[in-house]
Amino acid sequence: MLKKSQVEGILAVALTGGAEFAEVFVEDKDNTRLSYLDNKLDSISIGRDFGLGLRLIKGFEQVYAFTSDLSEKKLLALAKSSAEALSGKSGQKVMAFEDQPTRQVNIIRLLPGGISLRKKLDLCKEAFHTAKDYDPCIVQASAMYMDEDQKVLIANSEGLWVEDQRVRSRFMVSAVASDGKDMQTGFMGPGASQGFEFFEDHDINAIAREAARIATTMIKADYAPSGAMPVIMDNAFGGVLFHEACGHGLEASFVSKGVSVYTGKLGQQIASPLVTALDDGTLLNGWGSSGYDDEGTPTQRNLLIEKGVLKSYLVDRLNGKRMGLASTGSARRQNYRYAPTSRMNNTFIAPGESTREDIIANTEYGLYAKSLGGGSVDVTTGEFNFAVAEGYLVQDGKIVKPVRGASLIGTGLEVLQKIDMVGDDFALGQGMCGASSGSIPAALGQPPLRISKLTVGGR
Amino acid sequence: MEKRQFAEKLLAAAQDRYQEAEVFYVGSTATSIELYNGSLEKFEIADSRGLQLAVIQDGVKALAYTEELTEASIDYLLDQVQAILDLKQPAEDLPGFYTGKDTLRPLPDQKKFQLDTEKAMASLQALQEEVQKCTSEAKMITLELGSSAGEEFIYNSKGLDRSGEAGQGQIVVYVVLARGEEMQNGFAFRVFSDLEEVKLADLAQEAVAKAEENFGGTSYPSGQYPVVIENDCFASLLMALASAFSAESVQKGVSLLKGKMGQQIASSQFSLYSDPLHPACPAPHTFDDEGVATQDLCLVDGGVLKSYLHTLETAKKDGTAPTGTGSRSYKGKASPWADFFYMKEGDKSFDQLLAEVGQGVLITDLAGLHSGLDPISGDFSLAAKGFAIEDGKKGRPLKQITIAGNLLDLLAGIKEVGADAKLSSYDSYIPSVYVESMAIAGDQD
Repeated sequence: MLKKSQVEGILAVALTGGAEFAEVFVEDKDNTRLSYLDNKLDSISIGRDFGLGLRLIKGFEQVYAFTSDLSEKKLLALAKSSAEALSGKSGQKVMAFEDQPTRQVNIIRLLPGGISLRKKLDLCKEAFHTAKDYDPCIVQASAMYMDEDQKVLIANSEGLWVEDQRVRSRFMVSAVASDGKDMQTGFMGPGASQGFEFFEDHDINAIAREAARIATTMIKADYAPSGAMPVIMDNAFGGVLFHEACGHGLEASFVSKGVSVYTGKLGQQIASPLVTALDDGTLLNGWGSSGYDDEGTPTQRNLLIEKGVLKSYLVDRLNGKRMGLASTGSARRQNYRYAPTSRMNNTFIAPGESTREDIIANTEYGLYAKSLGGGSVDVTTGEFNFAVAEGYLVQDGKIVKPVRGASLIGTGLEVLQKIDMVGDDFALGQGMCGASSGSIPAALGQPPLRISKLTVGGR
Repeated sequence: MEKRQFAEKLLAAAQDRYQEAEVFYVGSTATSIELYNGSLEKFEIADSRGLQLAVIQDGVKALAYTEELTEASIDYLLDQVQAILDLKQPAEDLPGFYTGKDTLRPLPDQKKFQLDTEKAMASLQALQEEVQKCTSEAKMITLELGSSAGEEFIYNSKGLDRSGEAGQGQIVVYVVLARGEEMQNGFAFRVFSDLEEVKLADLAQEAVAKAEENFGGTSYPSGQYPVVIENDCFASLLMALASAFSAESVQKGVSLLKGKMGQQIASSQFSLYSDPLHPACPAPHTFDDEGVATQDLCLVDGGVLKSYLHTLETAKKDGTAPTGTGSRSYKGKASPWADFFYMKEGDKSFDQLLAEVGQGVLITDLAGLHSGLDPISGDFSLAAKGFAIEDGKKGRPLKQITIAGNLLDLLAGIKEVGADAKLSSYDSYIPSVYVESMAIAGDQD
């Protein structure tokens, strides 16, 4: 990457204007993606992302510049034009760099770069056939292999020097079922901060069968009913509930400006006492884990809600300054093209005491959302939505039949209060989370739980 | 290394080794200024690029990319494509790279907007004042003004050598208004080549009005209602349908338009086209990402399906001509994509559409399109906001409702198309539509 003397030179030029703080983020990332579909290799994308992002801060003003041309001439010119964007003269100097120790939150055994493409292709081929042959109604399937190896250098004018490596693997299978008239899709896509050893811990055929099972179940399903009713959300990706209904609203980028519904609510009871929620960037091999965040702060385990009481927000450097709060190690960005801001890592609701069976048996009428799709939220109003990928109708405490096409809507503050049963069978799910600093890997999770009333958008 | 020099050197090296070779470059630069409540929040200087090498050898195509253009990257790219070729996974019906013998339409003259920091700050301050004139309830005013320029070129061993540039300015207003405990937000934007032509007062008014009109919204009783879907909202639904027009989806059996060529798939009021030289298209271009000339492509005419969107590969497979709709990033292969959707407008104004509905629901905002809409089945259930239509007029605001159905049923149910097409944030030019009946869910019985 870059030498200390080069980085010092860039930061020194960047500080010639009014900036009090300057930071570089250098990224060198190898990517491999394969997809196998229609019984053939559909696409392979192999390549290298490479570039530098330079950030300057003066008060609450921020300059962000990036380039993939790392020639000295280009970088010094970039530093100069960035410095000129801020008025004044701070006189700030670059402090001597102090190497931060390697922080091994994730244990990586087999770097994906050392594994042959053939092995990666064979995984896809096998999973494709497993999904395709699951049931005669499966008309199409695809298996996708993904790995990335991101090396970053984060250095700032306060003398911070952090090098971190983030290795991730993910395997995704989707299956399409048809009854000759309609089509329904099933999807499974686990991922982890792991190298190729990910495939020792994960059975790709089980992933393929699960995707095919969802599609096969849903093609036989009727449309979901609509209206307000109790909703049971299962574990793993069910955590999208907390991620959308609350997680985004706790990000300092919104809270610091007073435009989140959770602004000013620290210490208040904002959720049912059954709810304890955390965001943990240090989970061993977690999909959203890393040693340091993208500002070079060590990641940490943040208790967000304890027994319904709001304990912490997710804070980055700049927004923390606005709020008078220290960083919670939550600054993240997709790549060098984005300035970092507060985001989630691995976010989840902690397990409670009920069993899944109890929760269903105690529900007279409602929707059981066994697996969930993605969602979104308007942080300002707290209104969220997410899609049910596999749903069932519950009547008289029993699962009656599968239902399709349901989305769930509500508002954050309301839904958190309405969680009235929390189960004991905790699991995490993995997805990509999009916001102002780009699309980042984020894990979410929860045990099965029940919301006493939520609007189901069926037909 | 300079990009052209890098590309030529790389192409020469690849041509020596392989039967066919192609280099595809995409670069962009942008400068933008963001104001938060009247103060500078963020100044951004962007300079990004990426380059793809694609080769064909014995019926196998391989590609790799880099963002670093140095001597070492040439070897890196050649090694990567060789590793892929070594997998020996030949594709059937693989077309060679494009020759570029077709004729391009002339590109309309476009003034390029260059951001001048001082002038931009003055415009933003003026816009800030306009927003403040419109409302005293602003909790947050975020304004952004920027210029961006893109450059693309494709060279290959078949003689194709096409390059293009596009640039534009963009100005955005995002406001959050607070009334007691309730907050609502509004957003408006303009894409321009001449900042002088942007009416700042209108822009401010549009964003503030959007936030204001949503205060005090309530849910609605579940049921089937006639609806009007506002232009920008209908544009978002059509973008979700775009993959169904992709010949690649059709060939893989995952398009709801498979086997429907020449059939009535929508109401006779519905005609849909794709053309990146449409006058409203902010980034006009004459060739696609495979080098094929773009065209004014009719997809649906009076409700009848006329064409799919093709790449070189899908066209060869179907035995038809490519449609100039191949889209790729430097990271991957080309897929068909709607370049700039536009619809044939009807003759009724937006207000006339509401008058025709009489009693029903106006949908102005949809959320969850990436999850609540299955582009393969066309089924959707989406969080929505809007207004009750009462006595033919826009009535009380609605929130916490969903609309559900199937996209093809929705297209078939279009009774009237409005005359109010506008450039949407989804890069299309789409009017409002009046749909006969739609399932609405709310929490009122």
